[in-house]
Amino acid sequence: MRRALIVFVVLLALSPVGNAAESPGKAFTIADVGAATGLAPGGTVTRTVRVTNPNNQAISVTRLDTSVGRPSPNCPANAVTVEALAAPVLIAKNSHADVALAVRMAASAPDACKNLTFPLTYSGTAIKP
Amino acid sequence: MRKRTAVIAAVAIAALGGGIAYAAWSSTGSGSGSVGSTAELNSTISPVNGAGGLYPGRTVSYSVTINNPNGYPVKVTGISAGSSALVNGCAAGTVTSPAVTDPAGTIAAGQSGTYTLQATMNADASDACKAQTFSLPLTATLVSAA
Repeated sequence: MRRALIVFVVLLALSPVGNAAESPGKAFTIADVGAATGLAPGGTVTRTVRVTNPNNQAISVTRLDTSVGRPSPNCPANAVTVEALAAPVLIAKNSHADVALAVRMAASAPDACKNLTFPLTYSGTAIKP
Repeated sequence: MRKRTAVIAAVAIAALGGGIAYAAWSSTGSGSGSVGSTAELNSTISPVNGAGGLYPGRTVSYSVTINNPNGYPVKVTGISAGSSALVNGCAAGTVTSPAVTDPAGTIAAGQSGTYTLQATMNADASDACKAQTFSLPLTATLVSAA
């Protein structure tokens, strides 16, 4: 019985450590690198974004989604789409990686979409590689 | 002894469970940015020299070039009808050119395309229209062919 008790105490002592390991890592950031311009109906441009990992361990970014905002009342937000991440991106601890995303303008984009800046909002998920 | 073994086995399983939870470590990221669409640059229609031989009732082919100063390919969807202005006593509208819709081909970024049109001199054109050069204002509509 005494040994069993010791085993339980050990189990309880381990539990808080286990919970701490489950806590998520620090949020990484996603920001534009340079300008991406020249979108025309049916055309594609590259939007390069820098993903910065503030954690003391490497992360693998498995998802990077971009939502496109409506730039003007007469130009629909869906005139422009941004491709999702094709493959996971590994980022070393306290480092960053630049990721190229293809941005496409629909061939049906109306004239109202000329010469506008489309706001982009990035969101992503990473796991421990 | 058997009881103790059972307890140790239970502890081992609990520890493994903790290991699986550790693997679920994840983080999220966010940010914002932008992408810009281009403003179009207007094309210019220029005459190609060489067309001639018009006389009353006669139709001749003539060519124009349309340039594309944009950074993307374009397609001409239409070229307007044209009509000559008054020139040295030759009445306005003596030479006309019908509209063209969806002529074949696209114009690459920074390149020009050549389009063939038809010009006709009215059958009742006056003598003042002899040996004249006629200018026909034309308008083309283009769309992105990217």
